Amino acid sequence: MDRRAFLKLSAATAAAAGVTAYGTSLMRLASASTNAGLPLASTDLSAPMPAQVQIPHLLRRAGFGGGPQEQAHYQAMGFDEAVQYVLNYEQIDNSALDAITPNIRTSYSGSVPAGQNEGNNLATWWLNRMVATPRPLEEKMTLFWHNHFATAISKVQNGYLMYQQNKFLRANALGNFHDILTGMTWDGAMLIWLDGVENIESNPNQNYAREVMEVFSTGRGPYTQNDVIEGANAFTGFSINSSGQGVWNPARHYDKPGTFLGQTAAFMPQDIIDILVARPETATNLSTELFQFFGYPNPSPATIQRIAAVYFDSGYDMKSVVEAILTSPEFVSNQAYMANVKSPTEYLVAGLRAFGATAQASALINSSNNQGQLLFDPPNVFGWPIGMLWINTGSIMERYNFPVNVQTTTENSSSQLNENNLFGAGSSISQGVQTVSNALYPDGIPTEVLSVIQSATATYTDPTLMTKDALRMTMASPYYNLN
Amino acid sequence: MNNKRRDLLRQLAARISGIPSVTPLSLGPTVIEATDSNQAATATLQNASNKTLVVVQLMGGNDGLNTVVPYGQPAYLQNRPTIGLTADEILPIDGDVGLNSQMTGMMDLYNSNRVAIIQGVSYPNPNLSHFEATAIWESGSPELPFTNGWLGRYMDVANQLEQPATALSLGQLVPQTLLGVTSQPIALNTVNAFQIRPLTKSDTTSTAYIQQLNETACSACGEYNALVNQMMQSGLDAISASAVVRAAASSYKPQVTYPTDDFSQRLQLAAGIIVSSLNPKIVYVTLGGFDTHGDERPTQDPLLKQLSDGVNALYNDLSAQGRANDTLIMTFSEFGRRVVENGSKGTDHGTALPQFMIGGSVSPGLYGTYPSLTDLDASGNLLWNIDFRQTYATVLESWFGIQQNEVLDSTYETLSVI
Repeated sequence: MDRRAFLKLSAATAAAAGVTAYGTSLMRLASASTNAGLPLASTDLSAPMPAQVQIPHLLRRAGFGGGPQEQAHYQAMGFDEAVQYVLNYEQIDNSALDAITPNIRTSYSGSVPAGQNEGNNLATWWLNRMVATPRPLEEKMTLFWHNHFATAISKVQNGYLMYQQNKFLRANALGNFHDILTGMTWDGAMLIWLDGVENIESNPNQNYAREVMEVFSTGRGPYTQNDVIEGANAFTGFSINSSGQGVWNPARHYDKPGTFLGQTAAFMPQDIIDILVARPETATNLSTELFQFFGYPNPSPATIQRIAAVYFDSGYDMKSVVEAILTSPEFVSNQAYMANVKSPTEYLVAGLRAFGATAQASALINSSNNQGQLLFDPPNVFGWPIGMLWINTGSIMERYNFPVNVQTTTENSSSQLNENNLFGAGSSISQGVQTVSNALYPDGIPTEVLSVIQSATATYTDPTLMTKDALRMTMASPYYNLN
Repeated sequence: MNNKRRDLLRQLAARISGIPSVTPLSLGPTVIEATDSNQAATATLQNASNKTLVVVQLMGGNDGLNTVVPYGQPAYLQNRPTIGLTADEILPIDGDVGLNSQMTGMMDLYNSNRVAIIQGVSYPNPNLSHFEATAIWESGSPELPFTNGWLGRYMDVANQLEQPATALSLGQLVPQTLLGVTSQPIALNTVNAFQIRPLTKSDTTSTAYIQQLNETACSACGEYNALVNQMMQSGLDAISASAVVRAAASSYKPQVTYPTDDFSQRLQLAAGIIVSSLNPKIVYVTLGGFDTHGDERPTQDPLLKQLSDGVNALYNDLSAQGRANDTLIMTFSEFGRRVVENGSKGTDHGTALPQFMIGGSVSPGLYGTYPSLTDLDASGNLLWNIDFRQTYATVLESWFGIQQNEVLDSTYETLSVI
């Protein structure tokens, strides 16, 4: 007896069993699967994916998917123009969204609004911003940098500093890496998170010196423990001023010469940043991390070399690097298609965005926690895992449950996703389910899986419940959960 | 390690790094065939079938020197003038070492002969990176990369020998320790969240439909079907395990009052699962926050109290339920910390540290020798004297009753702890 059989047996006899034998009596709908567009196992992995799935793929990777209108908007541009539109997001007006700020203290020394949890408020604010943004790549890159420079409010304990860091990363999302690494070295939240403010001349604290190499720039490899010690000396002298900004005071700095990565000098913090940004390992490390974020796991060395060359040729310009990835043949290859698993954030945002739906703050926070990714609170400086490490029995259960709390009612009575247009009088259940699942997964869910969603939806007669169940079942399917 | 195992490790490596592998990951023993040594170990394992290991991972690198304090060495307070524990902050074990005085719960268990402390644990060329040191401890090998975990590999073997063999991870993400080649643990964050939520009060069908969704074959999903299949498998496992775990939790009556913090509440859930018919081989719990580069005392002291009070409650609960002799509790952390404090009342990444083993079957006392605080390695860190794989080998052979080379890459001297 394998374990699942055992668990099923136990379930049948368990006093509080929630699993019934109902499933076995449901007719298995066996029909030939039609799934237009999806590459098959025999497909050449380096060949381009089918043209009609390239825009949905671009929107999933460079953003958070999108509903029927958004898909149509980008489809009309064609792939090449859509990439440029996504990349040059500064041309898209975003003033309405910028006017919405999180409910947190409004200054470094300000007090937390009564009864509020700053971390949860920040996370909810950001998730809702990702849902609403007309500049998907801006938020996607901010999310990338939040993971790359993973900083947690559980230690920083100051919502204002976390918000300032988030704003900096957004403002520089496709900026110059030299500016980004410099900014993060002087960042108030980072100075607390990795003890920069505790790093004093007489007895240095090695935390930032180690992680700025291992995690933020070169990765493991080029440095030794001695470089960590010399780096820690160079990073002495930081503090946070009364407005929450990092300041560096040469008078409190260790000023004796040392040898760092083969160079000898009395290093100041900026010297270390300059050295690290120019290292070939930094180019490789960042290129790999970005390619895996947008493309697929384990890219070939040749691919990474090409991207890394753009890093140097452009003078560390991240927009050029990201453009090189999004316009590469690898990005639209079959190998990239559905090669990633939606992170919890992508799962939450893409569903709400595609459907034009909302969820209560408490539902967003609970779901983030149960899936293992609460924004502004990564587990450690390495950030979150990727790929199938997101999926376990507990986290997948949450992916089945979150949609129950989604408000699917749309006030726009002409929208095809309006519940009455989907499942009201005179509608067809199969058509309604097709419309819902297309909104969430425009590439096309196999018909046999759609049939199960239809059967589930047909349990209800109220259009609101039918809409919610169709949404839930689609978000529960493996197809939605891939990226 | 046989060739088949090595092939499978390679497959798993591909899976962890995100490459779709051809074979879907299964809970069942679908791939590894029993070897002669597996069969030889079967008899012992059947005798060991009620044994449970509770792993408590202290995340961030626990400062062993302020946990099991070498107060008999003058260099201790000399190196730690502001964060060192003074005589009134220590619960003496003998004239040389004592526990941090926050650890009264652990001291009670020690005095009742239920605790073994393994001193100076590390490995050759200790790694000071959180990420890599954690991977080394979790995989059971300093030779990186090793992308599964030592207890996951144990579960692969256990699944061959005895059905069913279950491991539970109580938390949001599954630790590498529990990833096997063919086995994955049941993971849950809270019992309450570990069930299919009904759409309406009268909803009786959602569970069955989501189950059916995961049973519906994917005949044309192409290159990515390994990921699809793995998700379907996880979903089916989740639905099955949910009923069992919730039944276990609801029928269990704790015999002691656990502290109210999240860590202790997870230990209470662990006890409920241990005494249930689920009879897990492994329950895994984490406690985070030990990366004390600054202001160590106000951070680590309360964590040690949580650890100690939680473990005390768990032991006494299991004892009252007649399961203390069948349960072994083991702590670990990726590294200890430097001998000398830094300028911010904290400590930077170091090397050797103590491990606790707690249970009714433990031979109590101190194992190994406490590292010298003056005879240090070239970086000024403690020298180790027990390899962490000796602890693992001891758990595998003396607790689970299998041959260590089924799981570890070499043979290590076991300790007489169990």
